[in-house]
Amino acid sequence: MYYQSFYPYQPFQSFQDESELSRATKSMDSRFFGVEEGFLAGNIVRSEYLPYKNYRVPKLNPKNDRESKLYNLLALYDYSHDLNLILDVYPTDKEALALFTEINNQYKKAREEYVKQYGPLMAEDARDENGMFNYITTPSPWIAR
Amino acid sequence: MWKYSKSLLYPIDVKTKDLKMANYILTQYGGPYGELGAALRYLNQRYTMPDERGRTLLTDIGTEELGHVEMICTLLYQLMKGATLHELAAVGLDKHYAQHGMGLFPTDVNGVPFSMANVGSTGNYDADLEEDLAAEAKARLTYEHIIDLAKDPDVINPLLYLRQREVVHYDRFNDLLKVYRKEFGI
Repeated sequence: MYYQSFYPYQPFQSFQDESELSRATKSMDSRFFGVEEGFLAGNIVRSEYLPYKNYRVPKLNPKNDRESKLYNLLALYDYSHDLNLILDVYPTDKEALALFTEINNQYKKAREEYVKQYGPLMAEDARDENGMFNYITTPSPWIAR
Repeated sequence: MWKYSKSLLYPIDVKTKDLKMANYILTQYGGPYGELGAALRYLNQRYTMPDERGRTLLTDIGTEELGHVEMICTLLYQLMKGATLHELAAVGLDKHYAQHGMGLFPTDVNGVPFSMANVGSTGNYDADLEEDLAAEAKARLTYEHIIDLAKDPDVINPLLYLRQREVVHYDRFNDLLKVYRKEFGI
């Protein structure tokens, strides 16, 4: 770890009860966080996570099914992207490689389901929907829905 | 080649406008240690890395920084939405309005436009990666200062996420630099 943390390490405290915590996290001495906590924390490597003052890792509150599916998709993408960065430097890291294959498959499935149900995410997912180019019917991400 | 996905990397939904925060967050758009400079720096330096690991890592991190630029602009757009001229004048953004209206433009907190003048590119992996480490540390500290000034959790949570991403990038660049120094020397 390249930073010395001046604040004592705080275990992941965002969840309300123990059973939820154990479902989301891997064991406390595993190298990587679980998918959900890695996304919320912004870092997937346990030893490199650097908290700021006493800010707790925030919990996301999806308002509807579309948002909760999207947040799940973003969590999987973020996890595979972080593994991608680790594998760029150490391409033969076995644990990261195995995890990358697993997470990438989950990501592709989740993405396919999301696009089928809620519309295109990229221009290549777009199609003719009742005579309309349906890439235009979903708002750009900075517009509040 | 670049493709675009119509989503933010982390959800941002600011419900109350705050012109003061928009003025502070402007530094991460077009300021000296901001995301735009970081994206262009890495995408510029990647061409002269010694081998594929460096080229790919800088491309991937540079692409992610472009996504962060989008997140910063989203924060600015949502924080400034529906502002009256009175509110803009109260924080000194009336000068920004005179030049750009309600449009976005990359400047630093004082209105100085974004400049590549101090973004380094030497063609030497050692100097380039050292500069990248410094850039990530400066960006992280800027986020910490902005978080200190913020009160709304809808603004603080994305900033905490972006701050942690700078930590991740720092660690990846450090790994790469150690590997390259061992293999290629200085």
